[in-house]
Amino acid sequence: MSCIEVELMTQIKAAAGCSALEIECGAPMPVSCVLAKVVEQCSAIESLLLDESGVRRGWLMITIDGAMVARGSDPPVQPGSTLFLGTPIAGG
Amino acid sequence: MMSELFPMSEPRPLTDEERAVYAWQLDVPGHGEVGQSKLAGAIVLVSRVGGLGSLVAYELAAAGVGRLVLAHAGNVKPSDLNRQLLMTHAAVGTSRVQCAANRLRDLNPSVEVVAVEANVNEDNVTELVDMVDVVVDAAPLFEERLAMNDAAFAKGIPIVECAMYDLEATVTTQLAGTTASLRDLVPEPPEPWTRRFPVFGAVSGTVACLGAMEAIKCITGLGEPLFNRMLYMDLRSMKMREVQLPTPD
Repeated sequence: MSCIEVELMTQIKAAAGCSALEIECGAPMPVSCVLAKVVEQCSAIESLLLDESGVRRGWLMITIDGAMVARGSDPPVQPGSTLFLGTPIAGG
Repeated sequence: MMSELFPMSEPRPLTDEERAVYAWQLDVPGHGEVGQSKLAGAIVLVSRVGGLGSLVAYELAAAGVGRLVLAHAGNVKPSDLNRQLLMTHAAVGTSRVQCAANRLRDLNPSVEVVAVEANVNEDNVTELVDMVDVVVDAAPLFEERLAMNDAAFAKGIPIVECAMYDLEATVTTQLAGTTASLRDLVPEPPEPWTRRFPVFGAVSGTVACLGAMEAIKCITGLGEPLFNRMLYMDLRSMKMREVQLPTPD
């Protein structure tokens, strides 16, 4: 079984207490499904990723293999890809 | 040509004293007296002058930017001193931005420093941004960042977005018509963000130096700014990555 590597950034990493997760997948999986799998593995970050209705948070920054996913889109994530999940930061 | 993308103040001819001070950076290929004259004529807004903005202002003053507009309210506190390198123990209890301005004048007397004893807000943002050629955003609250970014886009000047949290940091440079705006990337500020965040001065200083270099590149035309790209750094693992950002519609 192939995997999608999910790397966690900023406040999501802090809330999860780890910097990466692996999601098993045998075929391309939409970003929304990857997020659901992530929440299954680590419920501590659910409120940072999804709202009460299970919809992706507007503040969530997602990149697939280094390219940021446009808001509102739900592209497929290929097995073997790396997904970054982070919140915007403003520390100065 | 970057000079065709946005308006800039006129370059100022260098004095012999300035040629001596900047001798080593005049040797940078592609910079020289033309680039240094652009820095001498340039005006940059840095908001605020905390852990990140202090170092941005310091590097820009050292590099010979002609005028720095610094905006930051409040007085120096003991808890500033681990990272706000323009502040001093002796200045605790006195104006933060005046302390920063005094330190910069000591560093480089030829740089004009305008100290604004206020944080950027909806009431002053247009006036502040109208005064400058380039903005460096080092504010700790999204509301300030979005207000500055909106104003920079309205004026059509570059804004360098530097930010950090814990041992992570990001930097990107945005410009109307060329890149997405901060509001495009952050339509909804994250609820959990708080005014206080974990920080080592070495982390805010790292991203500050990169942000200062972005401002220098925008002013001089040297190299390639981080347009449509975001540099993401994790100093815990020492991994640095470039993220391709969505381009404007």
